[in-house]
Amino acid sequence: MAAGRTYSKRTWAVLILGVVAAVTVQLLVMAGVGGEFVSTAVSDIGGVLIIGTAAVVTIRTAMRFGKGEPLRRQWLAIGLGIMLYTLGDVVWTYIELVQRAEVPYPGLPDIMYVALYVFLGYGIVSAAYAYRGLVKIKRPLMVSASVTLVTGVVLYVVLIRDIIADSSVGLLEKLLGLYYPVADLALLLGPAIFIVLVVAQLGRGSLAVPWRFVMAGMAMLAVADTVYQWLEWQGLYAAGSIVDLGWMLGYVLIAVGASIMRDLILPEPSGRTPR
Amino acid sequence: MGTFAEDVVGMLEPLVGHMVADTCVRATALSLGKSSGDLVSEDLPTLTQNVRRLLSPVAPRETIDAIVLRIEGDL
Repeated sequence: MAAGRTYSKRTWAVLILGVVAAVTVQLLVMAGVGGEFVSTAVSDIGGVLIIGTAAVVTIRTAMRFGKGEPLRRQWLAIGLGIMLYTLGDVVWTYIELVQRAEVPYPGLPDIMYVALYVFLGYGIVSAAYAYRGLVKIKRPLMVSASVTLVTGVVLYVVLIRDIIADSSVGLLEKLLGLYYPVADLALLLGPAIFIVLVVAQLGRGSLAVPWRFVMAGMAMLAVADTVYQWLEWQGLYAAGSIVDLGWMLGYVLIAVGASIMRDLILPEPSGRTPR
Repeated sequence: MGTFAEDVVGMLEPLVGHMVADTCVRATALSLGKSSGDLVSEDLPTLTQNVRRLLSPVAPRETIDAIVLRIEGDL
């Protein structure tokens, strides 16, 4: 049965092609092949294609569930969150490659980037909360909240304190500079730890596997975002930075989780094969 | 061959793990005022109803249908 550990060709393709594509894009950009503009184009377009594919894979998983199924709502929220990131990157790419201008900060892409956290956070928290009738969720909630809090204190010392104290930046830039790291913690890392602790109680049950990939992806995104914020604040970020690879791999891992969840759909009793 | 309860747990376990599978069976026994070991095949309708209710928020509906069908067929 699919509840065993047999994954589809689609899942393997998402994992292998996703990782290979992300690493290839990163290597090409780091090597500077074709000069600065080409490197920027490879970085921007490569990111859009890879993360956009991850969004499509996740949304297709969501649509595979029936309209009233909670799993549809959970995965759709995650998929739409990834799609918002992709749209933000499309706008970013248009500004950099077509308008040949520097992307303003705060700018239009930030509207999408800000919104995506709400979708991703909602998807993960509602998925974890759905287990409340089956496993203990109080302890995972307390542990994830504690880890989030401690990490928040560290982040405050390393990054947030400087952002607040810097009088040379505008209010909106300052608010965004605060929002991203706080949202990374509260809406990505915290919920990811929460769900992985919840599904840990499933032991070797195959329902836990998709969420482990999602947790790994979310953690990677949270780290990449935080490093980006720090680099950006120090004026050290440039396209082709290793954090770009973190974003691409983070979303690829979430898409792998979505594909594995789809693999867990067994054929209907009538023998109809999954779409 | 194990008891009825052990067989059901064995069928649910690959999907949800031992603890949750056991929770489904114990919830059924509790609702019938029995212990897990006292469950018999006549309790199947209550059991499948509980399995559907408990797993539907976290597992694909088609997968639950397939497992329930297997439980009904094998036990």
